Amino acid sequence: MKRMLIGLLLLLTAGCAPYSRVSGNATISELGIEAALPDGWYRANRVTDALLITKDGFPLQFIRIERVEHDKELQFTKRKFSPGMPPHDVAELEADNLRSATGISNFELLDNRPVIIGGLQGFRLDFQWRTSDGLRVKRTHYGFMKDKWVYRIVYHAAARHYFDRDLPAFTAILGSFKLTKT
Amino acid sequence: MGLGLQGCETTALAPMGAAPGRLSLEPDERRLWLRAEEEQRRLDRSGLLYDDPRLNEYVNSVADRLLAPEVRANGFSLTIRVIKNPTLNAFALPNGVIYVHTGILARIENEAQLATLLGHELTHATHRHAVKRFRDLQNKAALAATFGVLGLPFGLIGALASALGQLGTIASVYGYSQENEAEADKEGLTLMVNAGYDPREAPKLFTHMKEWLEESKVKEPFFFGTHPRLQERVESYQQLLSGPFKDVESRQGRTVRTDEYLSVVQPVILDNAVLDLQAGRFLAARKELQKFSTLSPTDARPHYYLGESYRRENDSKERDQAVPAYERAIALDQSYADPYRGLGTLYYQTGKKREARVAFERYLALAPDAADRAYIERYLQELSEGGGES
Repeated sequence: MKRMLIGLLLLLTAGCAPYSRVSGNATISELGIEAALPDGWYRANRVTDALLITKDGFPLQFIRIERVEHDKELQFTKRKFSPGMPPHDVAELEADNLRSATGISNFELLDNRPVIIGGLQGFRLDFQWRTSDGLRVKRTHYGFMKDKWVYRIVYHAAARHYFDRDLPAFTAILGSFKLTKT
Repeated sequence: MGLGLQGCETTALAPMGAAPGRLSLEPDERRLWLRAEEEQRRLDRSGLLYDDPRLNEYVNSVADRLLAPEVRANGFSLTIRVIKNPTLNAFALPNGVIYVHTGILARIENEAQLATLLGHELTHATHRHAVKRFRDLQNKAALAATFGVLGLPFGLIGALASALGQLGTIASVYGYSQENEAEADKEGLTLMVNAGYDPREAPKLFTHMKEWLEESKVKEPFFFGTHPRLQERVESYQQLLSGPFKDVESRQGRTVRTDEYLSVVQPVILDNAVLDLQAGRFLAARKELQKFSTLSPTDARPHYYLGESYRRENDSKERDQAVPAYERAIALDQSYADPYRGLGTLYYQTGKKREARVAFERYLALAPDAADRAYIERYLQELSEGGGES
């Protein structure tokens, strides 16, 4: 009985933990995706509308996979996607939204090109900017539209040291990325 | 807050120029100036400044004409900088650096109106309204509560929100007391009249901005972007013109300088329209594009951007107007590639494959090094694989 109680307590504690280690193939049913997650990274359990993982802490690097409905207003520009929007228009909308984000300066769009993600036509955007603390960060943003969803697969890290170091982990996630349902 | 203002200090301070000799700042005011210099450095490094030497020289020359000799004799100097942002905003830091948004420059109609705006902002600096505001708030023990959090509600100013410091926020969002604003109206009007401008343009500026906000159906967080504050300015200037400035108004030969202003500011109108377009403010963008087009009727660019505004609005009625706008741009400049991309994208979206292919091919022929070439080639590949001519 005592063992059962301890077990239950551990289970509950684990369920409430803000972070948990990730590893191997994972199916994230609420996003309808599947991807191989890197060893040694941690998932933010309290973020339920996205897969958000980091290795050294979110200010230093993170990978975020999410999907948003096309008719939801973008956070900063308040614009919306529309069904059938070609990838370069979706990319432009995403870039404009980020350009208008709070807490950033010296924003630069470094690259914008078409890519195929999980067999679907999408885009890749590369950015860099400074945070309000003066930290220079880089971001690679892959995205595509499928039915009513706009998917985002984002890698964000401090430009110095971290971005290049952890890029292979992101590339591996991207290579294994699949939609399970939409 | 870090400004180290002392409690219950007087808010009665003589304006600059009231006494001869070098400007003497009070200790808390000196700290405020240091803070202003810090904020200025941050804004100047933010990548948000509009880089146009001719425009910078022009707006600074207008400001220079306004600066009273006795203030200049105090060692006070004035600098105007332009910020790339489509909102209606201008603000002065206490050290005499005035920031003006492209949004407000694009909507001003002439040099006399610019002088009105700069005179108003200059007065905030020369009459030491920032330190008065800080002292007043501290006396009311409300400083922390009022400015503790910068919670500007409008995403469009996002990047600017992080570059604006406390002083910039007070000046551009909250403004000053009614008494200080009225003083800025009156003294600013005196400065523009002394510089030879027509004071009748002063209320017109704010009436015009108020109408613009209403017609464009935009909501903005800044002082000059809010309806009641603009209405206050209109009434305040009208009172001044029917009272102390009555005689000046009727004098002939006062300067307005519409052509000079528009010839310098014309590129800002187009650039600002593109900023509005990026922000999804389609109606505002169209109004500016039409204004630019009137000034430069043979320029193809406003027609291309008009087409873009109609295409991107995701409204089928508006979208129908995109084609004639693109075609007009092409008619004005057949070597202009962008309208072909716009047409191609529109046809691609609406399933007109053959037309899309022709337009995309023309686009790539005209702009072989286009940054989005890879996208267009992919669409072309998809269009040729798909078959099924429309």
